[in-house]
Amino acid sequence: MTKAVLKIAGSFRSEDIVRITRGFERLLKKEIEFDVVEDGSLIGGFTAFIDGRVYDSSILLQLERIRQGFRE
Amino acid sequence: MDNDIKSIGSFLKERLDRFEYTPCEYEYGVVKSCADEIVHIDGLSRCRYGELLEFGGCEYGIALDLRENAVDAVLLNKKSSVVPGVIVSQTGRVAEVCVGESLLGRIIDPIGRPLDGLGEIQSGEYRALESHAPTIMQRTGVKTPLETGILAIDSMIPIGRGQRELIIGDRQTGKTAIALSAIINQKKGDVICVYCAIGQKASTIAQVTAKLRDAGALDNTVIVASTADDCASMQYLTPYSGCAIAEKFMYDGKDVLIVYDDLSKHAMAYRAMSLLLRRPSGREAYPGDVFYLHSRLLERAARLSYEYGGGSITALPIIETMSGDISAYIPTNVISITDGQIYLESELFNAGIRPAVNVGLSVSRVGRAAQHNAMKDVSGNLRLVLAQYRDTAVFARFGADIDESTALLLRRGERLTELLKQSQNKVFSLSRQVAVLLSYAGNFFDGVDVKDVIETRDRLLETLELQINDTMRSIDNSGELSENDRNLLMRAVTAFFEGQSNAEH
Repeated sequence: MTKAVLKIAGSFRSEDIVRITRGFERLLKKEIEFDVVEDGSLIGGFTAFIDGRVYDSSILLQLERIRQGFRE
Repeated sequence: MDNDIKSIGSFLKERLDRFEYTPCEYEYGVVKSCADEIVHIDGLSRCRYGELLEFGGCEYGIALDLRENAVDAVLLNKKSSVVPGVIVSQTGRVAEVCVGESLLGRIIDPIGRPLDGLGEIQSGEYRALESHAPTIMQRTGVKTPLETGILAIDSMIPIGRGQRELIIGDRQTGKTAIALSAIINQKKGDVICVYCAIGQKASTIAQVTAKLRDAGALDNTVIVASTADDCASMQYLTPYSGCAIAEKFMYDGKDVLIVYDDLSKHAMAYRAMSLLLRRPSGREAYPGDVFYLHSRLLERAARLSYEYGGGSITALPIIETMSGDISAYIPTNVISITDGQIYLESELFNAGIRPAVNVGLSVSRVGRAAQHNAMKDVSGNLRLVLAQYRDTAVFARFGADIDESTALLLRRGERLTELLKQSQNKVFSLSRQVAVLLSYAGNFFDGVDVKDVIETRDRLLETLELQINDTMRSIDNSGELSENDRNLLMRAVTAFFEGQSNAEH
């Protein structure tokens, strides 16, 4: 069982957390146990920290990318 | 106007249309320990050297030591909230600073935060603190003079645009004063100045700012400052930040003068960081790469060739010696890197000879290539005369019998020494320098009492400005001393000294 951290933007339903966990287990082919932390700065979506890698699917990151796109 | 709004609108729409929602995957690390702004991080196996790291989304640091699955970094903030367990992520960027014209007249810290209370810096352009020096093919020879406005330097140790000239001396010998005079002298010219204050007292930086503001030179200058209170990492970054700001101007085709005040403190800050990073220490406890620390900084000073815009960075690094020891580790390193040095001596300073330049130990390796023709014509063998005088003066102190030629050498040397004295922040234009040296060469000052030489010199210059203003401006603008200008100048000088002797009788 791999211990990991899941940062979420707001109150997710428990079935959403289970779906995210299953998705990562399929992707990484291992069992994962998330410690769930609420982080409003993400605005929306989630960020998972598993085995030294970040899987970022937050609105914060997407907005940052849009900003970078405008700069370029 | 409408067209502008439409084009901005279509630009934004096009960028938004191109945007695709894609989740991102990257590596992260965890802070293992943190002490004295040095952070040991587990993870980040793909981190690059010098990469900017983000700590918990709110603080930044720079990766300096990379090991297998671990990184050591320095924080860019002294009062840090980083604790063990904080998540660290890579930014994919190196440390940058804002650059451009909006920085002129401002005081900033090494990462571009304003320190002068004048609000945010309005600059949309950034430049990496560390970057490659111009290549060999991008460079051209140093041929254009950079006037410091200091007679002793412009006549005997000329500095060219693109040169690196070290200012070295003990504490309280006037090192900063020379650099500030050089900055003040650029206020009416086309040279932009950058002053890097490294680990200095905040009160000293305030004094420097006030001096530049009072002299009207601040509008043309950027001050990059880290105080003695700042962490070692900020002091370490200060000169690189100043250089990045200067480079932007240089690549835009402008001439820049940058002062690093001082690189001794910079080396000490780097030593502190290296010891905390547990790097092996060498001579005087400095790390092995302390030479590279300064050589990579000073290599970025250059004169670009015409095809690359023709801009330049002239660097005036300052080194503080201990009890006049120029053979210590850091002074010898920087002496070997630079294209010459201005050596200031406590003994001369205390004897009232200011600027306290030791002509024997000072040199400009670019030499006369970087001197206006007008100055070349009149400065002649000044260095030799002054060096001979100082050597002979030592023997004369013992009361030895001296022949007529030695007495003449001493008499002329005493007057030359007085003529070269210049009060702080008082700068001489090229025409004034030429007038003084021409008068000296014409033996006009031989009849003036030593104690009256400075006063006579100042009165002469005022008179010349009134009587032959056009000639003086012509010398300033052309950098040449034409036969006609020389005759006019000599006539005015002769008339002045004749008037002097008539008034005495």
